[in-house]
Amino acid sequence: MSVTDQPSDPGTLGALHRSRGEFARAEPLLRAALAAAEAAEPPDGAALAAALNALGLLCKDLARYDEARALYERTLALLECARAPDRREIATVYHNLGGIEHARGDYAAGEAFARRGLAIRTKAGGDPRAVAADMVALAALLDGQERYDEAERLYGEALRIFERAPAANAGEIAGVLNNLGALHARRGRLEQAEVLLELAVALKQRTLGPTHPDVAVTLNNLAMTHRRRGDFARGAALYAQAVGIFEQSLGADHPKAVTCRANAARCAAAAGEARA
Amino acid sequence: MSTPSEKTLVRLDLTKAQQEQVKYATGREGEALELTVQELEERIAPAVPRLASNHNETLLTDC
Repeated sequence: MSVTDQPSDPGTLGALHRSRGEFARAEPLLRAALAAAEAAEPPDGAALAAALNALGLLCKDLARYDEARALYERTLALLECARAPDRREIATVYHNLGGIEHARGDYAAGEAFARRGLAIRTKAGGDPRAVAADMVALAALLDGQERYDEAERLYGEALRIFERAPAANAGEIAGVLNNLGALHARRGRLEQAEVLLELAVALKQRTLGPTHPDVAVTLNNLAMTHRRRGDFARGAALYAQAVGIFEQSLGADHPKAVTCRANAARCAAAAGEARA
Repeated sequence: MSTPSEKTLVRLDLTKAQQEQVKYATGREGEALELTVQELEERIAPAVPRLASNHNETLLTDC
């Protein structure tokens, strides 16, 4: 999207910056959109729910999990109080609540939310892409609990749905490839992991740009795969790239930057031991 | 009776992703949609904000 045809309303523009990983630019816009939605006369519940949810997504990206959860809970309360509650929107909020627990590492708590979201959406007849996105979210939470077979099956099912329209779903496909690659790496299938992670990096770089934090997630995973295969030089180079992106986009204290730096340090230590 | 402008055809060229969406939904292939102004006005989706969902992406920890 060029500068000239950028959306003018703060909520849409804030969501656009967030999708690009430009979180510092997104935050004031999403907060302004929420303030406007809260002050709207007559009140517009759907617009307020969208503004709350959008800021919740950003807070999760920035690791402000308590604030994100409070925003999602307000969204949920608003949706459930509506005269004709939209069950698909409610399913999305449960999906997002599960996402906070995934980021926190409380996978069992997240699983309960994700299962609820998926069940609500399936019952409401949600579109297959949204159902597939719910499956991926649930699979990641099962993966975190080392329930790899169940997670792998769900990733595969979701991937088949997304691949019916590969250009439209490129971002979703890249996310599944990242998670499947990471799952293979955890199970010691390093060659399979590397193939999927290389594909995911290329797809993310093409769709999100080279400095998006989601690219750094996959670079980190690919670095670890190389490190485990004994290619310390390649691992170190990829970790350095990922740390740079995380620190630039999320800040040096963000949990993803901290984890990636620790991984890089272990890679350097392992390289030193191998040389000794 | 409709005015001439309501019968004017508007051609909307579809992106690759939109072509896939049309094919997925209808089974038909096409590079563009052609609608009259009247049809277009009837089909414009209301601007209801939809909620976006997050992605649970795995970040491996080396331990």
